[in-house]
Amino acid sequence: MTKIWDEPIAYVLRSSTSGFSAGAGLNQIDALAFGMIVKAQPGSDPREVVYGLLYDIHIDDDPLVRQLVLAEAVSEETIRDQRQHRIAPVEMSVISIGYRDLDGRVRQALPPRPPISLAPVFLCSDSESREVTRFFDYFRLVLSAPGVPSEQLLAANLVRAAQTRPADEQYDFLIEAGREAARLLSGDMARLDNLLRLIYPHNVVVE
Amino acid sequence: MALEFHKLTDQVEKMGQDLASQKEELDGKVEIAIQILEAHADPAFLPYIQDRVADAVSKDAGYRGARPLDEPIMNMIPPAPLPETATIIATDGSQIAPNTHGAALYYLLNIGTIVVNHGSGETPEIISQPYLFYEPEYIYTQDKGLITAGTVSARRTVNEMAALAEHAWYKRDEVRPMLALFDGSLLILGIGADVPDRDQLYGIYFSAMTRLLEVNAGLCGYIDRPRSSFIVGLLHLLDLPEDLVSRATLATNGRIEGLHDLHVFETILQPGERTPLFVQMSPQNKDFRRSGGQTHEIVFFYMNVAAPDERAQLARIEIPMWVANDRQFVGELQALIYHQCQQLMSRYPYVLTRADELAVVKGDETKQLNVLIQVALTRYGLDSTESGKQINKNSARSRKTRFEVQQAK
Repeated sequence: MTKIWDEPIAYVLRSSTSGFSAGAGLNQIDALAFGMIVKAQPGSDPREVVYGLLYDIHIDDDPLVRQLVLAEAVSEETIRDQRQHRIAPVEMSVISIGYRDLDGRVRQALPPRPPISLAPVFLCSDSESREVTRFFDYFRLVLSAPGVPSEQLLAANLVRAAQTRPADEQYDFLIEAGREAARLLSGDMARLDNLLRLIYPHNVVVE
Repeated sequence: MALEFHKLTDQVEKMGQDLASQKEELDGKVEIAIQILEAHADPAFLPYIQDRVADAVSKDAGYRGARPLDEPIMNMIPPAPLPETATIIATDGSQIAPNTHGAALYYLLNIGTIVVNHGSGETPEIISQPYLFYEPEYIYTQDKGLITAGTVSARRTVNEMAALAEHAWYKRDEVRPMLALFDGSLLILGIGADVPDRDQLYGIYFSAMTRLLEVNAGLCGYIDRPRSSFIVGLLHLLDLPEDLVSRATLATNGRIEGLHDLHVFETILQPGERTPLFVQMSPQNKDFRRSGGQTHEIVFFYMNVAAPDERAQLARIEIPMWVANDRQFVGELQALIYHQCQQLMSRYPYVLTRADELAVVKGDETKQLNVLIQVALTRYGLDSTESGKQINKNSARSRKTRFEVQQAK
């Protein structure tokens, strides 16, 4: 059976080493979530991969969509036509948090080169997500990124990353992540408080 | 800098003033027109009105107004209940005209079609079909002159009708009623004497209409914001004493000259309502009846497509006689068109908006096609250069860089 991470969820529109934007059809909207780890290839060598966190998922309008929104009697056929036929991409931003080098090692640093236009963007499998979030060096990249809802994004990612781990490891993972965040945000208690509240392991069973 | 706006401001101001004073004058004429309408509102007047039109025609007085088909002229008719299911097909076309400065002489027609299974909740079917014409018989006239833009436009219109008929034929077993919506007047006026294949085009057009008749499609030509004065012409005729009807007196619309039909009916028609059916007394319509038979004669009505509590928005709907003969069918088509117009705030049928979107060839796409053609020409060892004029046009119209002069300190 084809798994969700076997098929591209989007294609790169614009990119830089610090991150990239990607576009997808509206039919992909169910596969996307804020804080997910995604990957794209920067070149032709399949060993090289850029990893990033998905944020700012948005859908732009156009004059026709605006008219439909204001009209009161839009039929189901019209809505389906708009969603399935018209070019109204879901756009999303991705902040780079690491890359896999040619030796196969995951490095939590900005990649040497960005993915190219129209490169397919894939979701990472649970095992790959665990590998990418094995260390917390990428926190600094996220927390210092301009124009990114850093605490919200990091928290969403950590909660997801915890869920990819066995139940008995989830609590420790979040506690360790919280400690690292506390070290990095020791001078900014408001942000730290916000982040810790968001990742507090309410639902994680403590053995 | 292309347009120097500061030189236009006074002219625009004057235009606004002039149009405002014309509006006051028109308001007075609308009152007169409505008085004439009301004076002939009684159904008993219908034979008299038809006799007056027949009299004007028999006098060869150049009458170009309307003739009421069989409904009293002040009967405004609401739509039938919206059919739960229906098949709606709409087409539109666009073109790239031949460019003598391009790398090769060609023209392109692109026809967009949308098919909606109304009431099904299914995704509509969309089709966009481009046709490239470069053979000398399509590009040149018999005396070796280049075809005009009017010829390309006429061929496009005929292709639109042919596509509508083709898709209606494919969908002949789908649910009924079937609304086949055409963008613009059904009385094609653009096939002038300059069109080399004029007769052939008329033949294709009538064949397409006949095919629509064979599948009992509800063919409707949709004219947004019509500027026609057919009914105003009729009211002027009724306003004239019978013995004064002549070419001279019918050359204008007398004391209601300048009025358009929409000025009269926008104060009368309620949302969704239509006027009675009228026949346009033009030579073109006569030709239609002669060439296509009585079934192909064009009948029209106006309808208000605005939503309740909105300012009236009128469209003229043209239908062939085979549709007009079934008044239940007309009511259902009226309901479907009104429903289509409620999909968008602009109150223009959604399916025509989409057919236009599917058909339109954007400037960037024209450029891409030209590059594609240049590559193909080069591959076959042919000259693929554009004229110097075209190259300079491309340069001048491309994205400009602004060079700013720094002020000396």
